[in-house]
Amino acid sequence: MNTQTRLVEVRTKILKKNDEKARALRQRFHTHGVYVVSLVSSPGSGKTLFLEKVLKRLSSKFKVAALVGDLATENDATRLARSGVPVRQIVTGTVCHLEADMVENAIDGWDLDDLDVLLIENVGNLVCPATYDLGEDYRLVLFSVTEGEDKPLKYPTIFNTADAAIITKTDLATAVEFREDIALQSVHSVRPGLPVFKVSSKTESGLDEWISALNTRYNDS
Amino acid sequence: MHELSIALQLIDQVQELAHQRNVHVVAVQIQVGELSGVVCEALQSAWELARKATSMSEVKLDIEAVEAVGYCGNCQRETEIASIQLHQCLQCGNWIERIIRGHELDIIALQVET
Repeated sequence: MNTQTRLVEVRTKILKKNDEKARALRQRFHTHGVYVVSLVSSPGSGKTLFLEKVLKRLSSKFKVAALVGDLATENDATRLARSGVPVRQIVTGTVCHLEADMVENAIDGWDLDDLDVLLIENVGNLVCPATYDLGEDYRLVLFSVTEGEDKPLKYPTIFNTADAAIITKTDLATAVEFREDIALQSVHSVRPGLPVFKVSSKTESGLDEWISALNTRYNDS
Repeated sequence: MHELSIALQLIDQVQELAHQRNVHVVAVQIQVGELSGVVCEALQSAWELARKATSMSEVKLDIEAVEAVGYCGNCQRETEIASIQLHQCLQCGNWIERIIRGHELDIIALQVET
């Protein structure tokens, strides 16, 4: 190279804008007393049915709302709106994950003082959402018994950013010969000590355990 | 795959940094952690594509991959982990308490013309 060069140290985050926005959002939610839970999983692992059942249960005690992310369609929002709580769809177009500014835009016009808990369903994807902070307090990663016990080993990064894991569709466990011991081993191999809940949204078994854990976190926040 | 969107945000950031410092950037040095959720090869390809229509079409991207490092409560120190699928201390075999390095997605330095 003919031109002389020198090195300028900068040390900054590549996703600085998203990180700053997420931090500001988290601060804003805390100021208004809103506890934020996000859900990530692969497509079809049962996030929406879980949300449907959880919204119903939570709405007897809390003022709840939900945001649901998808590349296309408003099907999930329409479905969840039947629960009677405020729901908004975030249609990402070609983007495979939610980012903090999408959350900020989606809550525009909502009176946050009138909310206790906000649930955010990410786009079905176990890879990309791991990189983006949405300003949430509690990130849940879900995987269903039909997906195989080794899901955590295949997607360790997302399990590393989560605060708890939920094994869904446990009503199908016997039919698909799901080995719970192996699944738990997989989770703890990529994230020692991560709390794991077992839920069937269909039969509603295990839902109360998770809601009670959420209550504890909410009260401690 | 979100590497293209990461590359676009990286370009925005570098342009802003170059503008603030009034420098002409030749290369960008970044660190990508093993647990950042970003694949180095995919990011390099995305960079080649994303820089094309910008003022940085000649700017090189040097990616340093950072291996995950954990803290072992038993050894009471930083430790290499067996793998990102197996968060065990390589020294004593205990489960590590937390990840210390491996989540990086950082711009470290800019190589600029003098």
